[in-house]
Amino acid sequence: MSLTITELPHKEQALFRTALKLYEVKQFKKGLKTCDQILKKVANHGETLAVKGMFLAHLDRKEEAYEMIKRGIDISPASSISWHVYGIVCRFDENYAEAAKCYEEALKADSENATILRELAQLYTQLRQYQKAVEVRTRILKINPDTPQYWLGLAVAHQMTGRNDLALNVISTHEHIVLDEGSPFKANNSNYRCDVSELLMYKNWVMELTGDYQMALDNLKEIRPRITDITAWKEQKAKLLLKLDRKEAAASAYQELIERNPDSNTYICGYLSCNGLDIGRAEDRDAVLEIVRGLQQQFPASSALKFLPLTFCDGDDFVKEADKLAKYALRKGIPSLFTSMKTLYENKTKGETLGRLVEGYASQLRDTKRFDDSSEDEPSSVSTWCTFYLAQHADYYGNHERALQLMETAISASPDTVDLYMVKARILKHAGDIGGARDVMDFGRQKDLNDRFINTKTVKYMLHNNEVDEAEKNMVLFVRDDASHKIQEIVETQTIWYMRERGHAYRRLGDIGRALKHFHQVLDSFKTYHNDQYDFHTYSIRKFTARAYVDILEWEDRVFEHPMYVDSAVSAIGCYVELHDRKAAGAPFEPVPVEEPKKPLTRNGASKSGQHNLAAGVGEAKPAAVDADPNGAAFVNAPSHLESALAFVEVLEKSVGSQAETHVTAFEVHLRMKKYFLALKSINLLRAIEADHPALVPMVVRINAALDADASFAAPMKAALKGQLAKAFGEVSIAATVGGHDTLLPFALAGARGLVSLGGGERVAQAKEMVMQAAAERFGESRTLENLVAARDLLAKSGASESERSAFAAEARKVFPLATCF
Amino acid sequence: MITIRQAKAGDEIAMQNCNLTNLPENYHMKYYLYHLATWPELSFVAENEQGRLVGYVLAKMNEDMTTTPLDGHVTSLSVMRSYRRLGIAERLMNQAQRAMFEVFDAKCVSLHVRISNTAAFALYKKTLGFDIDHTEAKYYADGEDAYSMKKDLTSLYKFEMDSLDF
Repeated sequence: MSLTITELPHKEQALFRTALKLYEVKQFKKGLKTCDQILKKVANHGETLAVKGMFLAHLDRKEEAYEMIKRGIDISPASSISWHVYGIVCRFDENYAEAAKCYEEALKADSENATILRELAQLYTQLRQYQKAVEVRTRILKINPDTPQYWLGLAVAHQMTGRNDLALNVISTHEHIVLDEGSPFKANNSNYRCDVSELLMYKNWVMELTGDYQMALDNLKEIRPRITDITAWKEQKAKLLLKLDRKEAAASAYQELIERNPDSNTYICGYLSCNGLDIGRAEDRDAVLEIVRGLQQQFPASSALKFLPLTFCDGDDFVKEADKLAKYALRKGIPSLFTSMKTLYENKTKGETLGRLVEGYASQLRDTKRFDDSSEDEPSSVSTWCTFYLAQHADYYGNHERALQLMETAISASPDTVDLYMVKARILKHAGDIGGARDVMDFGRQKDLNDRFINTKTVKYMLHNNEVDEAEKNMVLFVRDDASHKIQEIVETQTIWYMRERGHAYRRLGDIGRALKHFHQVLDSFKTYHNDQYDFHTYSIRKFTARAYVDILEWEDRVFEHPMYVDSAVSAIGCYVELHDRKAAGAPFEPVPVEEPKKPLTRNGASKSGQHNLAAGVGEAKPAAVDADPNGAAFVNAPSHLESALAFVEVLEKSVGSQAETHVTAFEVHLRMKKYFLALKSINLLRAIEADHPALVPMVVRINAALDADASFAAPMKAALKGQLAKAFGEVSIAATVGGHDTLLPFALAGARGLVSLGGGERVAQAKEMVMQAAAERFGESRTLENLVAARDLLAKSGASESERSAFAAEARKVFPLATCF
Repeated sequence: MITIRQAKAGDEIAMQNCNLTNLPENYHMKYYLYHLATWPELSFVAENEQGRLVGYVLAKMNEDMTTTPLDGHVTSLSVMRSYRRLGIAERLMNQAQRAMFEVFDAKCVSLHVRISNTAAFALYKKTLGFDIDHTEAKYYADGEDAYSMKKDLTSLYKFEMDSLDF
């Protein structure tokens, strides 16, 4: 840190330097005392006030900290130290944008400060302002041209702005510092060989990115003696040869790679493309099959090669290959055989063929104890695995009763095989019997109490069945015994699947507060994932692992696309919208009260009741200090539910704007916030993704109705919006759209939802009528379990009477006879 | 039926999920990133036909050692239960071990296993060829002892020299 401290007497100057040193060794309390000592003598020393603020921030006295720093800056606004300190504290609070501004201010008074520049470069990288990162790193390099950290960091920044040429230039100019015989980086560096290898492989990659493949290939030959990452070198060789259309050499390179890893689909497909063959082209299939069979002979243990032919073969070839693989898997007792085959079932013929094939085996084994083409009896387990396959096959086609019958046969033959119970449970889930599914999964769990996998599945199924307490009781069985608070530990370890399932369970139970709390836990985990990259901006460069570093940057750019994030965000938004609507209707949701503290949960703690206790989660019995908000009251009492929701809407629009659901969700918030142009944008974006999306017409009708009802919205803008809508959609009505898609249940559901939102006795009655018919024959396959459950919920919202709901339930049970959810 | 490849940043969340699903020893995301940023060549994943991660090995070099060359170390290895009998653990370990040898000059690889975990012990001893090196008392957070197991790599791989004639 710059030591341009002004106007302090000698003794206090020394104390100030001490304070800064104390910060570096994280002695915050001592540092605070030191600052106070200075301030006793020099009461309003700006820089000392700022540094004192920095210590306060690290002692969790945030408000005071910021006050102190701001005071310090007011007093010495041109002080580099004060602004630097402010920047550090903002950065500590993950407020990177503010921090960057502070650092820029700090630079004004101290423009050659390498520390400030370095940290600023890090901030700009975090903020993805790569051009600014380039500028700052260029400045650092002028001051300090030799340290690899700086020039390699600059190279990466150039790459990220798309200037691979400049990146290459920087590396080529400076690499000698590391590569030369007698380089200072060799001494005392046991990792020198690896550092060199990483640097050279990174440079080669950047060459490839410039498009000059020949240069890259020549360079690849040159650098081989110094490379330790042999696999990457060989991959680069194969890739570059293929790009240069040197097919024969590339094929031989891919062959070498396959020898090292015969289970790599990438290598195998690379090899095939060297032969000018395309798996997707029908004319090439015979040639591809011949090659693959050749590879199979060479690498008989390869798992990837066993399955590959089934993906592109047809007719007799397909049967032959499927027969080979199926017999192998059934004999070996591979539980995932059907899961693998399932990917082929999109092709109706293949699915049916496989079913017939395994049925054939089943009868052969029943009649003769052996396969037709075999001279020996098969062990009885093979027959059980056949039955297991056929059960999953039946389940795939919705024949749940047959599937369960088959599972019973398999289970009686092999009652201790846990896989059987897991699949039986899944079949019951598909059939709509969540309670039955959960019981079977738990039964399977009892067979192997040491296995966390089956425990995880059981907990999940319990949560699906809304048994929050029971699920928690089982979940903590595998949480570290020495965790001070087991539930906190689950959050600490970022067990996002559990938080999300628990959120959904609470939502189904109507406890919006707790639901929101858990969805926020997932969302916060992702925020942490995103912030985790910060330290790697310096760390990775120092370690020379630039290739892996760029991979991390690119992943972080997409991290909010993850389905777990999207689902939690959409759910949280839904909760906020519901809270808003209830409040607007005069019946606000009240956070469900927390019960009196019970005995804290231990590893062997037994729970008396398995039923959900709406008042409190079992683990929330610990004192308030650990869980500051057990029932999600903070979220429920947020000043503006819509503002809270909007934050997530914006992330979704940015990260998964290509998904239809994003805009369906966003619309709900924009409309309620009366941001009609944004609502229209959602409609247009949705239309661009799916012109005939079920939610579109209801959205158009609703925005028109809202515009009509909004007296305060300026008339010319209203007219413009309505004009655009009319031009794009014409005259639309929900009834007409639903009628025009009368074999597709999603349209009836979206239409009903729209009508309920519009409100009014007549419309709600109309909605009810639409939904009452949800189980009708004409909806055919669109009567999925999910859709019928949605219909059930909509009926409740559209004022259906007890007898009407029973009537619907009876119809739904005709479609799903085993379901318990109607 | 499965494909094996080097772990990338995009696999981290799935690896963490696989770990949390199967094992009681869990880690923060940052720790996974730390592995990837320090020893990117050593971790591998197994993917099924649907592109889902069904197994992983998270590996590193043992920086706690005071002598070089460092040993390779398996931080965590796990395969989803429903993907047994495919030899996934072996396939993952083969790739990781070769990388330890080639990239970081490791002469052997070590790992820890609970002394009560007979299934894992059998996997390491019989299938993967590890032997007990010593016992570490109270290694695990709950106080259980661990076997520190080791496997020699020098007899498995040779240094390859590539022909530059291409």
